[in-house]
Amino acid sequence: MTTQTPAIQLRNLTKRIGRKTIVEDLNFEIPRGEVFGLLGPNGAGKTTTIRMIVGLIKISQGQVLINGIDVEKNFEQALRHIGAIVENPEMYKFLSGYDNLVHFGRMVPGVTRERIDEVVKLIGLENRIHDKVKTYSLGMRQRLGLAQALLHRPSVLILDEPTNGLDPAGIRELRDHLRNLAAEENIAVVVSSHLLSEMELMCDRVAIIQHGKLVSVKTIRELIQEDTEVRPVLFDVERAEEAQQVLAPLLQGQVCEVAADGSGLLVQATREQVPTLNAALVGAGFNVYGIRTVAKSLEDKFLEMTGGGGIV
Amino acid sequence: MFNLIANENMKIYRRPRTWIMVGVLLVILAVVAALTNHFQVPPQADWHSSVQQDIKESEKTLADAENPLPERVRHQIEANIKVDQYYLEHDINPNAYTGWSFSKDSSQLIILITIFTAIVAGDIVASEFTWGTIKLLLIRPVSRSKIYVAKYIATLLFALLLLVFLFVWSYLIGGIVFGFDSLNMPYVYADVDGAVHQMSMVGYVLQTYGYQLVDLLMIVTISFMISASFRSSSFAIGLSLFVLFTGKVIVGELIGHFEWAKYILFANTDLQLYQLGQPLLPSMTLGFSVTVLVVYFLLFQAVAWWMFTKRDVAA
Repeated sequence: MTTQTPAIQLRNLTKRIGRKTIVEDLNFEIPRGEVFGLLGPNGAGKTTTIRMIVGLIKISQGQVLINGIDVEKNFEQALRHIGAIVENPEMYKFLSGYDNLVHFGRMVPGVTRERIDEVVKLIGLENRIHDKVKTYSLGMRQRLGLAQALLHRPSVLILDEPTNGLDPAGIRELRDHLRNLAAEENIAVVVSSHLLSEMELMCDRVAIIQHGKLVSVKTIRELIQEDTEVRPVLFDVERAEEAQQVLAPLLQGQVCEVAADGSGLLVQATREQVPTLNAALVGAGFNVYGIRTVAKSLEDKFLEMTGGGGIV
Repeated sequence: MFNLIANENMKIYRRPRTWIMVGVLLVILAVVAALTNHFQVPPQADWHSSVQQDIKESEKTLADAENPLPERVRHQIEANIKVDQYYLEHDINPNAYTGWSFSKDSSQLIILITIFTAIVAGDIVASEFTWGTIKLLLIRPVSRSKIYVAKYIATLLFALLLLVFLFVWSYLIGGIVFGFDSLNMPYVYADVDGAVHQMSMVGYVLQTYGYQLVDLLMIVTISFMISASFRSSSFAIGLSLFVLFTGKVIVGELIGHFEWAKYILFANTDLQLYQLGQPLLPSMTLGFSVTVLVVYFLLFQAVAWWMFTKRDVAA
């Protein structure tokens, strides 16, 4: 596994339009089997990066390698390994879903009718596949988009803003799909999004991009763990006032108060402190029904790292 | 490549618009046949004398010393006289309107095919951008050049389909309305040197098609070029049709005053002039026109190809 060529390698990837640098010197690698997130505010260069990876726009400088194959030099060979949706999955509305798949299937050698049927079943569109795409809901178009991306069994799946316009159930389903694909088919999945809470659940690693530059590449776990800041933690505990007396000595002056809505005890604590505080409560005979970090999700982390992220 | 053309064909023929065009062509053809039939002059019993009358009048015009005719018109009238004489000698009634006459006349509808094909050509690249499907189309393991060629070929196949429809329908409709019994009727014409020839009507109709195809090919290629370059189908269709309708008029205005006007595309699209021995300018030859046409064609293709394959797909 460790010696395997990464599915995607970006080397000093740069895009300039006129004097403006849209994407500057991106470097990272994505191995097979990983779900990788591209995070950034609107206009940060996520879509531009994706368009360079799939060859829709020219690379000003640097390289994109797909399974070691240079996208610019060997476009046809490299693209054989990629399935992608760039922005919205726009299909031919006057054709049926099935004909759309036939259309895209014809463009890659080896996509049989059986494979099309298999993919249709995989994304659960059997009942409507012969209807015209113009009658589809957005969710169904997303599914069809995923189907066209998977037809030729790619080893790299790239989805630009895949959760756009999906309802919560749809997002969850997509997430499970992607995790499955990564794990079972050993596909490298790249998703871009600004729906950060979704990324947190979907990805193994994220690259944070701002103003076209890479801010950092971290695993989700690292992002959460390296966090030593004090944040509000809600202990859902019985007899909150008494519990407050137990915890107060352990917290050197940190805020510890009964939540205004009576839902428990609100404590300003670091991540590290939470187990200690919990042990103290349990040790003193209090029943703890739940511990919830009120904020400091990836979203906060992200906003913090990008400094609030205005579009430049 | 075969698959790519099949894809483009699917996208053309699954759209209702395409079949509306085919329907319009058929309806217009039927209407023209009905009108022609309605207004047709009843065949004269004694056509010999009317042809003889024509010859006499032509000769009188030529002999009129007070109004000398331009060389070109003179040439034309002399040729007409020779053809008329040929009719009399071989007992061919030139005024009989037959199925083939209708086929020949309806070859004028090729301009309609030019318009329809220009619409398809103007749309075939630009609409992929309008629909957003270009982003799915160009991320396949197929080079942009191949997609470009497939789209161009599919456009020409559409023109070919309409031409076949036109030819077959005009033969059938013409045959039904005006009779099929004219298959052996020859077409008579005088060549540059004034010698009279006859050829089969099928050959003549096909030849007429051939001459009209030059315009069709050029207009369609212009539309395709604009479509691929500016990614706007309305611009492509509008501009190419504007050129179709005004190109010859503008050339007609310029050609008398400026020698360089002969390098304009539309000074060279009517190759039949050379067969008739009536070039627009004495300095123009068939070889010259063909060369100009080829240069323009290659230029249009190069621009379209370059714009389609090299530009970023950003929208």
